[in-house]
Amino acid sequence: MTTEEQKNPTGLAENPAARHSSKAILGAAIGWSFVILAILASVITYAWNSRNPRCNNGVLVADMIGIAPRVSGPIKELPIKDNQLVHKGDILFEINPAPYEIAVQSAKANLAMAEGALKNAGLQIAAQEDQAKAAQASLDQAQAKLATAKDNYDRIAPLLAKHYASAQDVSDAKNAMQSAQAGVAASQAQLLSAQSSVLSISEAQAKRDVAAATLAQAELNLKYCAVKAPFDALISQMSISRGAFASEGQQVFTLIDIHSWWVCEPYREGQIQKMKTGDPAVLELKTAAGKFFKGTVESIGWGATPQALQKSILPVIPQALDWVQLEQRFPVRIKLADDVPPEILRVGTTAAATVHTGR
Amino acid sequence: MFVPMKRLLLATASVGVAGLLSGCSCIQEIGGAYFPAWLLSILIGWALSLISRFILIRVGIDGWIRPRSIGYPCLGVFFTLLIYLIFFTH
Repeated sequence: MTTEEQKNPTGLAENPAARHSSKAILGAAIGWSFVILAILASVITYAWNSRNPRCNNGVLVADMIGIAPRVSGPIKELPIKDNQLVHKGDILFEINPAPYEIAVQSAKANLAMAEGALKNAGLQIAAQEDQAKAAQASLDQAQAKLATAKDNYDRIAPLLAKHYASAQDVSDAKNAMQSAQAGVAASQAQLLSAQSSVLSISEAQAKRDVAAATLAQAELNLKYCAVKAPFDALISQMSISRGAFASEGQQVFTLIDIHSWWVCEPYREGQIQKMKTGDPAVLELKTAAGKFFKGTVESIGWGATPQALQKSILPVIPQALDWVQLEQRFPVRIKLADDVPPEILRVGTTAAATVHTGR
Repeated sequence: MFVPMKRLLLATASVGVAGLLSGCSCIQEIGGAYFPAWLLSILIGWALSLISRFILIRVGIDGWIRPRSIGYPCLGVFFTLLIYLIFFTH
């Protein structure tokens, strides 16, 4: 500051003359224009902010799965490395297949055995059916014999009164008829026995089906030894190396789906009022600061657990019931456009979003 | 009094320039932490209003500014919002 200003820092002149009035007018004009500009800027900013809600606390997320083998065994081949990109169908790791190959061979042998048994049963049943047919034929024969014997007796019996036939003849004919009747009964019993002794093929068939299913399972287990990528993905959190024992169902690393990037922004309840699905958004990812990417509001969360509803065996009462209450936030899911360079996409990246509502 | 003010102004301006150079983000990274854009806007707005006041003192009109109590705060608000609207909305 100059000496003059230190003496008179406000710039007020000692002699309020005509030039004072012009300065006073200018000063008032400047002062009031500051006020008007501030009000104008406030209105514009408020309008912009309410139409374009912004959230700075988001994170970049992608669909992730934990990869676990379907069968247990030591890892024989591990062609991938941590943080590597793999494509759908690429082999992630191979479990030593030897025990599963043996299981397949064993199941194949069992199936062959069951098929042989089925064939034998078929032949046996055919023989039994032939026996039943033979029994039927002998029954027919016995019935024909009975008919002949009956005819003979019917013819001879009336001749006894006229003494054209001897009592011996009649007795013989009657005996022959009774014998034929017994023969029919025996043949009937034989036929029934032969028919009931015909085995069913269904047991052998079921055994063959079981053996076939066991073989299919064994082949499937062998196929499971080679674990393949289910989609184009990035490997993360690899906690296993070649030779290690991988247990069935136990996660060995994580796959990040590279086609499913989205941003989860915790918007305040007041901000989501105007927001709707499909609204365009501008996203900023902190792995590429200063660059902006397009996005679309995919969905707005239907719920978030408030503090008082957190699970406990007793009611949760916040420590301080303040007179200032923070707004509840809901997760808004914003889908990232496809043209984002893949090298900046990392799960958990800080993401800021501005949603343009009403466009 | 002048020297610390000058230093303060320089510091504020350098923070502001750093922010602007990093691409006018909604949140500004300073020393490993993210600060909201409005905080930066307030700093720059406040600095600009200070500079304006110095200019007006030099011109000799500062003493005639009416309404004096809210004129400069309003200018600070205006600069803050102007910086915010120009650089931090997209």
